[in-house]
Amino acid sequence: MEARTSPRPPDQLNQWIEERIQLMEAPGHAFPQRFSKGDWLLVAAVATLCLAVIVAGAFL
Amino acid sequence: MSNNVNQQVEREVVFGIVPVLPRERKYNFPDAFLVLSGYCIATWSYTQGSYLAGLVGFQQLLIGAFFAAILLLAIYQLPTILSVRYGIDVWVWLKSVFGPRGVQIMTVTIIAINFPWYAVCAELFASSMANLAGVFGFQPPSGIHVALSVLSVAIGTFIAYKGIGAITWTTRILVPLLLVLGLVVIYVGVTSVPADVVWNYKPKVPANPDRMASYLLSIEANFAFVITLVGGMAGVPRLTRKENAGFWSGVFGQGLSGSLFVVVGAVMAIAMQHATGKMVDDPTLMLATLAGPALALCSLLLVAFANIGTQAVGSYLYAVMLKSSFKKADYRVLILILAAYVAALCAWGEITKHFGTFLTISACVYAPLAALLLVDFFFVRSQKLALRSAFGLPGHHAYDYTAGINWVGFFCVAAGIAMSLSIYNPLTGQIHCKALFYLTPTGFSFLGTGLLYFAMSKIPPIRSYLLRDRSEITV
Repeated sequence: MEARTSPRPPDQLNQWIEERIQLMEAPGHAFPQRFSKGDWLLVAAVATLCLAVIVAGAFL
Repeated sequence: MSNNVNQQVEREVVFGIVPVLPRERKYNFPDAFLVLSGYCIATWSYTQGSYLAGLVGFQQLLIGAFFAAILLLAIYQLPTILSVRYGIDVWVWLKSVFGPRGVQIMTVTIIAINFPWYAVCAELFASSMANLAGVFGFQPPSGIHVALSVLSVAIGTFIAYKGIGAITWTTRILVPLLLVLGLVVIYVGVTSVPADVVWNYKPKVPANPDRMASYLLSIEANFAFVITLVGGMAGVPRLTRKENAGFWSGVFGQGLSGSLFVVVGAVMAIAMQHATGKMVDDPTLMLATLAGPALALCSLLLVAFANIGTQAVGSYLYAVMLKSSFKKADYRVLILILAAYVAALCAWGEITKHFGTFLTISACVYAPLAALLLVDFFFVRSQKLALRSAFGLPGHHAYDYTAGINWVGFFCVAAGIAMSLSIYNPLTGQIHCKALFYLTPTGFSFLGTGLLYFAMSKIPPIRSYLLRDRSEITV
């Protein structure tokens, strides 16, 4: 824990970043759950709805 | 003590730089939504609400505040999913768009155009103090407004100068205070004026005789308002456990919570106009007029602390941002430079008067920046980034471009600014091209910059200039 909270000189910081990148590159590394197809559809639906309401608002 | 503060800031900078691993993530959607809601609420929301009420009627104002805000947020914040995936901030992977030296230039530019928001807060603090003094029969001497504005900046800077401990406590108190203030304003606004007065409100003297132009200006103001978050949009999402949690918390934190306070500001301004014939953006004056001096005195304490706290948090965040780009700079010196800048804006004293102009000018830069992030991530790099080059690790130079600057990125930013200014002059309010104005200056600049960057990325020499990182892609 100390290693995570102490200020580090640049070379140590670089080493720390390198270690973390290697962890991400390791086979089986679990990335956060991806944006799903449902999320993409929701983005499209929200954007379309907002655009339609904005256009309709021009005639109020 | 001073070294201790510098060490604390250094630590913050380190946490802001390194990739956050999934097991270290703190937030699900509700947590991130609440944190970002707090981040989006400030007393300048009232200024925005009052400004919008001068442009359009209440129904159109509601549409702009919520639907225009969410539309743009749902598009330009899509790249936050990269921040969630790799646990990195936007300023790390902006190196792919601008190069490391280019990112330094953009950092200073963004701060230069964003810091006037803090002058708005300081002016609101000063007008609250002066207005309340007037309510109690004391006429403040001329020139006190600037002195009070600078006082707000000075106290906020002093808190930021004390470092992260003081900032943490300020934030803990600030967000609940702003929420309480908002609830008080809603209650007084709703109980003081019949609902149909607010619902059917239309400005007596429209800002523009062309109703469509006024409506488009209000949509532009909402676009410009929400796109100012682009620089800080990834700070919280990179700490979330799922990509959709990071993205939607950003969209709804600003699009619902932030916009709600804009609407509260508008209701307040409409209620004041109904009661006194004068539209104001100062919650203290509104509460003093509509609810009596006792409530106004309470609100003054809320407003005073909220504005000082906003200044403190803003100074701290931007000094840390500068420190991450200029590693040798002293945090305390950076804080003082920021204070001098915002104090100079307060001494000028015209920032609130030119609020709409300031919004559009800042959006001139933000819109191209947001477009480049979106297109670079999804369409140029196909969601793959060379992490070692982005972090500037020794021996990895894929994003060094030309002496540390990606001139393609800068050319597109310049083109985006020109696109915005070519259809609307924010200084004079003149519309140059009505057909394109339907897209709004921010919308046109966002679309145009994105398309230009995408088209340029298809030209073989430019493509190979931009995509030197392909051999380094590992995740």
